[in-house]
Amino acid sequence: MRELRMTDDQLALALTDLGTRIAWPALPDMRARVLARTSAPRRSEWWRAFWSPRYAFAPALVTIALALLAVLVFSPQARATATDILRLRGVEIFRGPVPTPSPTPSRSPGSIPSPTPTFDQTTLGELVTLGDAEKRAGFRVSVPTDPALGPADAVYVRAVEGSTAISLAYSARPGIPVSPQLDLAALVTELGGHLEPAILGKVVPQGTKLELLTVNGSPGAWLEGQPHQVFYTSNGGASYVTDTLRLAGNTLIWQQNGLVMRLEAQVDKATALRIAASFQ
Amino acid sequence: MLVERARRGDQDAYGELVTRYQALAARVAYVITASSAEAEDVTQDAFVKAYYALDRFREGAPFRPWLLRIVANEAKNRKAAAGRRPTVELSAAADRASGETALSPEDAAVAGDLRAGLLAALGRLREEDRLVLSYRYFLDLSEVEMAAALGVARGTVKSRLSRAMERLREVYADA
Repeated sequence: MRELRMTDDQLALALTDLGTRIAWPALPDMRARVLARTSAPRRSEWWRAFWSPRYAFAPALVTIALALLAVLVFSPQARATATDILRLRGVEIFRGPVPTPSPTPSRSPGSIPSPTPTFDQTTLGELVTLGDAEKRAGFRVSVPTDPALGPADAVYVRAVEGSTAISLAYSARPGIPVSPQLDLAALVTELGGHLEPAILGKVVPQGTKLELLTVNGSPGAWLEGQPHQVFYTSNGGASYVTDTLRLAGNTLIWQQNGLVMRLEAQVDKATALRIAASFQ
Repeated sequence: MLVERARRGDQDAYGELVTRYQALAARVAYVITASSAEAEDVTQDAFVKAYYALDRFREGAPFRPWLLRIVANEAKNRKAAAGRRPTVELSAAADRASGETALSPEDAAVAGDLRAGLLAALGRLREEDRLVLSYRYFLDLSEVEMAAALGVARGTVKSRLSRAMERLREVYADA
């Protein structure tokens, strides 16, 4: 037992004195070693503009949740970015591989009557038959029966994180302008995932008009304006996926049978809803 | 502004930040991990992580607290992953014989005893007490920097420090 208790000042003085004598380890200069590891460019964090800590609860609350939209310059590079995966917990963005097109399209004769599409199919995935698409995706593909579209001209399949996306491509159709981006009048995309309109409303970018509505009795959204990206969840909510909308048209997006359905076409809302109602 | 330039990808600017802050960062890492090898790894990794996190750095905010938070987190994670193992306690140099303080041999011995006693007492404190005292008195961190390195709100730094002082006094007196 020491006899005297030091006052705060004495103790502080003694500690300060001690601090000047600490034998710190002599470490080598790390500048070169750090810079050797920082030469790769930083990943873009554009999505941060939409981020708020309150969304950290989203994956837990809505194990199935979706998301948001961001304006993206509709460049060929952007279109080539087939999938971006955003993991909210780890706050990491991964870029998925761009699907490679099949050199020889495997189509069974007569299944889908189609002229050879002229657009860059690599952004949509691999050209397949509807039957093959369903086998690959593991879900039944709903097809619009509205006469405005008729049968699809081509079917594409591509992998996205934790899911598979099927695209039905429609080339020129009477009364529907053809999108200069992909030389298509309409594009239907179906993928395993979930839509969360509550988040959608918070993050819609300027320049895009968003209307939340009910499509075939399920939550959905109508988007007019800029091309954008869509976020949704797959893997039971474990992954956030962003997918670039392919046409610079209007988009109807809705939930149906455990799938996120998307109709992109330069049509008005009433026509889009009518087409959506014709899915079988 | 170095941070702004580094954020735009200027490697020279970031190199300058490394040069400027690596000694401080390494000491914070050393206080936490009590291992010079770990401190070196932690410092290097923390600077790399900080670089890739620069997008999240709030423009105009002070860089030191932001960096120290990353360093401290990295060090704590590394220490937790390494588990319990022998560590080196802080040690201090004695007065030099020709000391500029011109202490008598007796006074120098007393001062040496005091320092040794304090170091021993520090080693017996709980980690959170030892850290806040080390940050304040050995590294001369500001309140904001201490809060960042401790991962607590700035308002709680003062109370933590005074509580740690009280415990150090008790442990020292009981020796």
